[in-house]
Amino acid sequence: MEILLTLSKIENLPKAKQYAADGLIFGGKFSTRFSYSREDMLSINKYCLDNGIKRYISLDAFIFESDKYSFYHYFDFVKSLKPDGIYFSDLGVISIAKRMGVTDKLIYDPDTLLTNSLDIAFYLKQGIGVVMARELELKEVLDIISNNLDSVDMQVFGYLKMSSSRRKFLSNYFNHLGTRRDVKGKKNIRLVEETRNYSLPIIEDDFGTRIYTDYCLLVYRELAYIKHVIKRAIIDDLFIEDNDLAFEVIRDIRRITPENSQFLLDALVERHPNVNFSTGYLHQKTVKTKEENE
Amino acid sequence: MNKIELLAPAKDFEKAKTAIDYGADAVYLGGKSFSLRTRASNFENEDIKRIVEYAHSRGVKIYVTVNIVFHDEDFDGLKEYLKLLDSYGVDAVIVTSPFVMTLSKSVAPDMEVHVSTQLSSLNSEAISTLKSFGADRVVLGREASMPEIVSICSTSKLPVEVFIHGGMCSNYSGRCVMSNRMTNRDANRGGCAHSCRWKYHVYEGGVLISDPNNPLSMSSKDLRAVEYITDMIYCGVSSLKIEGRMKSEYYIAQVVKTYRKLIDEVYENLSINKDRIEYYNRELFKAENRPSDTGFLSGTADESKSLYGVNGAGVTHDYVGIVKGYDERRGLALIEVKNMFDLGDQLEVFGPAIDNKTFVNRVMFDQEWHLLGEAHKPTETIYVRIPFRVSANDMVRKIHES
Repeated sequence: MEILLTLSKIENLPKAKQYAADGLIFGGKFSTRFSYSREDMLSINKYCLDNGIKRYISLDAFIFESDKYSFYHYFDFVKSLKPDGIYFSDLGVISIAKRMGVTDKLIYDPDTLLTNSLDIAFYLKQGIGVVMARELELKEVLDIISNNLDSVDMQVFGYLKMSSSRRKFLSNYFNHLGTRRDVKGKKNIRLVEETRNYSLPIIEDDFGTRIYTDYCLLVYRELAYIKHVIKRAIIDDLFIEDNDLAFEVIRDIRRITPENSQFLLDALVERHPNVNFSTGYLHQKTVKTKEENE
Repeated sequence: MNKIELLAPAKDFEKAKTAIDYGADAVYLGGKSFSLRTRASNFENEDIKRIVEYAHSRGVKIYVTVNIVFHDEDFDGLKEYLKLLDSYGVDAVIVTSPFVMTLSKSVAPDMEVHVSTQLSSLNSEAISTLKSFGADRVVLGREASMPEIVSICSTSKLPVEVFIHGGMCSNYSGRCVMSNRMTNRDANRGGCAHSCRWKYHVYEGGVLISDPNNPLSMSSKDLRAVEYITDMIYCGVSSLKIEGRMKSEYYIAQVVKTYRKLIDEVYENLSINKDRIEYYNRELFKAENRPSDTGFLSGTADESKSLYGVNGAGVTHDYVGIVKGYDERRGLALIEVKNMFDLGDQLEVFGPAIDNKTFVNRVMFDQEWHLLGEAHKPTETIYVRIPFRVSANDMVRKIHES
């Protein structure tokens, strides 16, 4: 299993090397997660090549027809980096990558949708990698992995994206109130629903709005049993305030076993008491209808 | 050039029949399994067979949604279900899963595969990808603007279907699991709790920045695309889709009839003027229960397209009854009461062959010929004097005083 880390800032490159991340995920245009310039990306790419770190490019934005030609040019640039993988979310990327002969680099990550073994096998058969949906129970994850051994990526740490919209919810709301407010790209804005205490991180930018879980996924005990059959484990440090935390997680996952997972988990939680850790949907039964819930 | 298709939703057999009678070219519906809108999916297999027969005898197509985001446990019986739909003559299935696309093609090759809006297809490249997966038609994501739709249609390798009316997800369809986290109900398997429509306080750095008395909601106005229908016809959209498998027969009738007339008028006159656009919008307001707008069709969805603290749209008409028969000699219509109305109310009748004829309700009788001053018992059947000829299944609505 490769351990991949999102590179939230260039200054983290030496630490990524120090903690032996197998690969880094980064991006610029057409990434909702990163906004590196081409020059930055060339620098990151070179650093990774020089230090034996794999390079994964994030292209997770939807491509609107009006941006199609701009995307073609940018994809050419991405191809020129000769990345080890390209995470994408819009199915149009497959058609473009086929024309450019880089289908084997693609890794489909629509956040949701990849919730079963058969759809995942469908993409794998086409030579396209996949990231499992986050809203899966553990038994579903085990089924998918056992049906597609050593082939599937999984997010194992970080806040989970719950929704994605082209609408600018925050700007629209403040414009409606008549109190214009600068919210673009801010990472310290939270939503709290009237009757629930969940504090949900929300980001608005030119792509629209994305809302994340109130908790940070951490799956040591579960991962200890499946780390040898997952292709890549993704650590996402978005909203993580302690810069060392994601690196500690890399170190722990590297050495995690069924025997030490609880110990490592307890130690990490103790060192970071202000982070709301959770195993996410792995132990949360999700039902199909209101009636089932009653 | 094939005439553009008007595609209507239906929750059950009766509503599908209404959609067909009022002018839909095709109807989409869900079965008991494998379909989103679980509560709307009231079609037993036998009802699907019946509606296919009814529809095909009138040249109308039937599409069945098989559009949940499947988990491993959900596939049981799918192959047999697809074969059954094919044996009934269902024209297409609407799917989200690429595996289901290929399965359907292999076990039911005569049935088309339409790709659900759940896949948020927003460019012609995505359509090319889906064609390579075996799709026959693609429903675009509701985030596409009209210029983008024009551009997509100019290069699309498959027929394109576009939503023109009804409710909208505020997030990209299929890419939202807010409901899963907030209520444990799976948004992509029919359990969506519409958490986006709830009220949220906004904090920045721990400080409340929203109005405590008017919190944020992500709810969007419904879609209403009257002014874009001509462009959609000219740019080569194949199908115009109305959302609303949960909606009433009155809503279905009014919305389908309005778009039917609009489409026919565009084909007849090759264009439509501003007055007629306003007329058709006013017609749609008669069925509206939430405010509506043009969504992303007119570009970005700004605050004017969001709903804040608004529940209703200010309904201009109430559906009050359906005609069961008409005694032409006496001028009496037999009407099943749907909602309350009184003597003196101004009423309007519309139907497949009658267009908004109004009258003042002056005489009503119950079945024993007792004079009535009010009709306040839904499902009761009464006689109402109507001074013009009406037909069974015409609908009666009350006009609100302005």
